[in-house]
Amino acid sequence: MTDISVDFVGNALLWGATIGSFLGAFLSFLHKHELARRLIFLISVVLLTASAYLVIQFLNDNFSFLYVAQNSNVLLPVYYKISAFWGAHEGSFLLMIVLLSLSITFSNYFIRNKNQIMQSNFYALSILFLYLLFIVTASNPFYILSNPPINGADLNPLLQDPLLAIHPPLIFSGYVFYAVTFCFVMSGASGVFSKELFSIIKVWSSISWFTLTLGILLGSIWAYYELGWGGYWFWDPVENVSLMPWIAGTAFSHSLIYSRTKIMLSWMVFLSIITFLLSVFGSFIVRSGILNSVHSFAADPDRGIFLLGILSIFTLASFIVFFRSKDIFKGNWPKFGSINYLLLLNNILLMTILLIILLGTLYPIFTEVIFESKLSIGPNYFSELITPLTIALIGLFTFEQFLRLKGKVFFLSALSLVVLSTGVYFFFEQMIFLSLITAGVLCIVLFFNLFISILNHQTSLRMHKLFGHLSVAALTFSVLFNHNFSESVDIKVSEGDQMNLLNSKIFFEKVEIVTDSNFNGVRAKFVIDEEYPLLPEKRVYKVGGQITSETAVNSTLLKDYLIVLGDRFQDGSWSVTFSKKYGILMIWMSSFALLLSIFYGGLRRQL
Amino acid sequence: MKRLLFLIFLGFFAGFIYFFSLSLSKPKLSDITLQEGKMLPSIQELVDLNGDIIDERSLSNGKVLLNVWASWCITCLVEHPFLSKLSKGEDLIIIGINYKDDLSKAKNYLDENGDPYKFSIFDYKGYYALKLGVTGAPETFLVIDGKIVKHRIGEINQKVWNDEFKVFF
Repeated sequence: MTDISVDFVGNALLWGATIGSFLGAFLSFLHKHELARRLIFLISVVLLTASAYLVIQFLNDNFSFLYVAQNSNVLLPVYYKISAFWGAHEGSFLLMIVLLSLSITFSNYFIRNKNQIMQSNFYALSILFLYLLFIVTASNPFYILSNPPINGADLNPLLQDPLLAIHPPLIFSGYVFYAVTFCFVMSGASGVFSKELFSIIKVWSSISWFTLTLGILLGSIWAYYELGWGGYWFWDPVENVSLMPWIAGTAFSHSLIYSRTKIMLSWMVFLSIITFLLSVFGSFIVRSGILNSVHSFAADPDRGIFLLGILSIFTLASFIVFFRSKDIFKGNWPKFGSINYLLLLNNILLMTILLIILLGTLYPIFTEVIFESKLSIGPNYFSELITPLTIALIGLFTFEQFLRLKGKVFFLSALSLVVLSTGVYFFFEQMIFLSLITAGVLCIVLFFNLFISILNHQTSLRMHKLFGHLSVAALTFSVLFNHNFSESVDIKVSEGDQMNLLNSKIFFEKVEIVTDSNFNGVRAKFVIDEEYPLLPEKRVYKVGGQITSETAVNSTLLKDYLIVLGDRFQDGSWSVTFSKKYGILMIWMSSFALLLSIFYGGLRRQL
Repeated sequence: MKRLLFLIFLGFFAGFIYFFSLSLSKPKLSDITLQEGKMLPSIQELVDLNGDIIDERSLSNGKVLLNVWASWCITCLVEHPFLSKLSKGEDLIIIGINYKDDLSKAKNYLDENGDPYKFSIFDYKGYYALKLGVTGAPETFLVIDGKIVKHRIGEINQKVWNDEFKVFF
């Protein structure tokens, strides 16, 4: 008979950290700063020990741990045994908490000024306490089976990919860093925003922004190369849930730069709260079982109720601080055409995009609850509504870059822009081409602006701004390019066949058997246009028996060739999907350029 | 102005909490069709774990609980004690469907954890399970005189039993 009991060591460590964080929050509240600081250090050590303890169980294939038995097996390579730690619900939350405690420790180590950190420690430790309470009661990774199985279940094969081993922790890190940023903003909102506090917030917001961007980008790359659907973004609810804090965070980072004025300060605090709450909302909606998607974890309604409780507490508490703060709701609407004015428009546009995504994500849940009917919202809803707004956004920041040029030049460039885009509109009379070409024109304008700035040696301080905005325009352009030109066909082919499809010559050379420590499979060899070899695979995983299809991709600067191996027919022929995807490499390149700009923009402040 | 905005916020907040509590308390609409109301599919030459041919009538006589299990399935292990308890109590026959499993591992599993099943159908390739409309392990079917009256996807325990299965006894 198999019984489930709790593991003493793991639970003792978790409870220790829980009580410690409660105590720490209490001490910070009483202004006993030194004690709280030591306690914070102790909590991170305890939580690190707990995680190391769980990782050791994975490495030792100790299947008496329920969590290990559910997510790992003997055949798994060592690095996936480690990443299996955060492969499911319980471990990923534990990882998040460890990251949070480490970030708090880090802040406490570097920021010696007591006044700045004490308040934020109170908020941070309260967050830590609530999450730890959730882990020990509703999401405990330390359960023991009295009668362990000989081997565990397999880690989902889709997750057996190096990119995916680091994508989730990066997203969590982004969330966690935004939580830390939030704590500092809250400490300012409930006290005073000093100059030093601003610079702390700026550093943390850059770190968070960079990490979340990287996390989302890697997830997107993984989806493209591993999921085999030939797409990089699916407007899947879970993707949306990570995009929403990113958008709010982007607006937040921009408002932060000008938060010396009262109106931007209100926005900055508001956006910081929204960013943090959206990240918590994300974990609630993904983990509660409300949604079903590629990402969804095992559903448990009790967890949902707990997470909803946490979310409500955070929402209520942060908005009470917001509404009570003396700096909020002061200051006037900025002058028409000023930088602050454009920044406000930018915030409003970003918030509109955010709202569109939020509605598109929640509406299916809404109809399911209220009308008991299932429906899903397709990518068209998102792309059609968001494209014009994004174009407007790019137009806005391109305009802003010419704001400083007085007189003629400014007037001329603005005019030429208007003329060009209207001309283009009448020429094609198609929305798709209009947005594509507008994005292209704006790209060129931004590029020349960057070029001229470099020639005039004006770049050292504005480099990240010029380069970052250019990469956003380039990203938009490549996404539209990909969206409108990519094509795909399904065919039935046998070994040795040669055919012409989508203006390319395809040759199916051979099929061979492949084996590995944890799967068996077949690999086909195709040659496109006599120069690009493609080797799609089909694998059967030994434990659990999942079948996966490994897409073969060959990238060139302008377009990618993709082949997915489908089913084998009785007569030995195969069903195969062949696609051409445009601009994929351009999408990755402009995203990395954006990342670099964010990185430099954050780093520059420290130089 | 500030007070008005705060009230608007509170209104939104209350609506939000109400909506999500509602969505959490409602059972999810299932994506997978349950097989309730259908007759048990007929298939020739079913064998048990010992290789003996199974008389099809033994599946459609009286109240039969068909439970899909496998030695690689952890949730099956979790629900196993409950099945053992069940096999001693109610007026019902429990028959296992050993799903996509290794024969020696399956036997080993029953030796270690006890065997609540009258016998287990050895469904190595999952053909029978496919006909039944099984999506994975564990799943449980309550069959009364050849008709599927209840189909449960996922773990079965005392609570699920009381909520969904008890009414048939």
